[in-house]
Amino acid sequence: MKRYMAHTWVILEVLAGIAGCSAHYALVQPGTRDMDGFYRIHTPVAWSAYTQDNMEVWTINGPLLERLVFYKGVQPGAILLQDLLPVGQEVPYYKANMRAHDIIDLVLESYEMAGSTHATLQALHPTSFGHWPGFHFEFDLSIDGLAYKGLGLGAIDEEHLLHLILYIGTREHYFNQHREVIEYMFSSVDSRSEPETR
Amino acid sequence: VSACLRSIGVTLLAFIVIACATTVNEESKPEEPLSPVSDKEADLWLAMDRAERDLVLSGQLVDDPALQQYVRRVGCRIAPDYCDGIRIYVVEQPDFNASMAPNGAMTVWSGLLLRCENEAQLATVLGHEIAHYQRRHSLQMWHNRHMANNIIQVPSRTMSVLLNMLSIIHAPYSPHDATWKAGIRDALRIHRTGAAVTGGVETLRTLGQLSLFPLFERNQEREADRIGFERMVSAYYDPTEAAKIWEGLLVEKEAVGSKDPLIFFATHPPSEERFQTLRMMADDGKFAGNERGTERFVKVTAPHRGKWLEAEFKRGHYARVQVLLNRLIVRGEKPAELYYYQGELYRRRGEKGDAERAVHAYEKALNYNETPVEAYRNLALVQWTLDHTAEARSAFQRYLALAPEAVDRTMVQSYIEQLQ
Repeated sequence: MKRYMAHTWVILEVLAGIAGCSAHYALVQPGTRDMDGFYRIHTPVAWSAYTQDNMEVWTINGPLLERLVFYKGVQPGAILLQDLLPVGQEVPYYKANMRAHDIIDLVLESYEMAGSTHATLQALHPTSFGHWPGFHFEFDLSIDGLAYKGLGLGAIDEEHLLHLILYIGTREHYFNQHREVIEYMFSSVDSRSEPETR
Repeated sequence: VSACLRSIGVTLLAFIVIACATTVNEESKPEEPLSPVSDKEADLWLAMDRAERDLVLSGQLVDDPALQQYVRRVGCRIAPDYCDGIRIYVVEQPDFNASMAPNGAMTVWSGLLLRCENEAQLATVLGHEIAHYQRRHSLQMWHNRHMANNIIQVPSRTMSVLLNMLSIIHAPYSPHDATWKAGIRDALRIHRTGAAVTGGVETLRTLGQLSLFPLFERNQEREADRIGFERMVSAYYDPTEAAKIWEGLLVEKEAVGSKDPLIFFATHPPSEERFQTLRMMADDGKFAGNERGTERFVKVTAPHRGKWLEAEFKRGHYARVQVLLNRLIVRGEKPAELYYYQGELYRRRGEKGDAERAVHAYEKALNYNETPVEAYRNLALVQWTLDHTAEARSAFQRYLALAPEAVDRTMVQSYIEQLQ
């Protein structure tokens, strides 16, 4: 396992360099983490994290196997998976009047445009994202023929900014291994405003 | 996983080779299956065979044995002399494309079937691809480009990566223009998604290799058109359908402009002259057959059409879907489904005036009994954005009444409460 992890890190580092992105991993210790002043989230486990475009990615075993993606305060007009979508082509983007269903369409379309397939909604229900009314959803998708399952927690705040947390893991093993942790983290989100941090 | 991806990738690369051609003077004799004629080719064959096996197991094939069998039968009908040597696979992939590897494995994208009106048009495209195979165009190209070692060494790829790489190769119309470079950039971006799964170092190297592939030359296209045409009319298909499939693609190409180029045209440059030639061949000749096979074709493809349209949406092909829907609506097949997807097009695109257009389309769809129940929910979502709260609430309630076990039931209930 240790050897595999090392291999994964090498790939990621090389990828980061070739892709021209500055993916530098930082350790996220167990505890409560402030998410750019928008909300706080508690993690019972440690993660490795990096930022790419308008998303923050956390992973334990490497993004090949599972990843937790945070979109924080996405403005209307912004696109998801920005750096992965084809240039010059019509791409879906966030609109302020979107409802939960529209946002899920946006997520699944963005994944498909970025190269995954069979992105399908499996469950959707209302919940809270901290103190914001939000939605919780489950979905399936396939990347390079490998089946993944996903969980999402989303909300639109009073200023029409989109907040989205997406978790994706391989259907075999990794998704279920961390599902309980992810659900706990979703429930731990505290979005009560703290003006001094915004 | 890595090993699996690697072998699939090799196959896909092998399929890419198909798209390249040079003029060959000696036509292979009918009933003579193509086979490797050198050690180098034998290596390529082995790699392609392995990749083909992986493709079959990749989950990318359309899961419908009747459809797969149907397309294979059409292939055998137009090329009985090669029936034992070719294998045709229909893969779930939006966009119009078909390609044939030198070992006889042909992939037909579901987006191609979505754009064909009948069996005769499908036979035209299959005949065109088989002509490239028959003339060993891609093998000749492969030799010319000294790609043997590189192809064999290509590491892990999967079906989607192959398809993405195809999009790199096919998207531009010339490797020297800005669109080509933009295509490469786009592909690199796309691969960074896959990179999270497959690793991207080899991808970049492969991209460099693949960018060496040129477009088909006009002479090869003419030759493939001629042979394909001869094959389809020999099988008693309506010769006038040969030009129609390409004409339909030209309309689509013109509608979307250079923003979202059709993959197939990148290696099969379209020209008015080619279509005129096909028309003339149809007009001038005396042919025994006039079969279109529309009923058979629609019967096997119609169950998949909604899913294939959805796949085009998910790739952001809004303009193309609009052209396709307009064409399909004129034909009058399954109007409920077509108006529903027209509503989906407008709802998802969300440009000015699209909400009203979406309402209009959904309401048209709901005049038919077989409309997907989601039409009510999505109509309600659009009505809500227009502040038509009573109409939105009513449509949500209708949706829940018709789909009491829907996976989003509690979410829709919460919408209704908000609309009270």
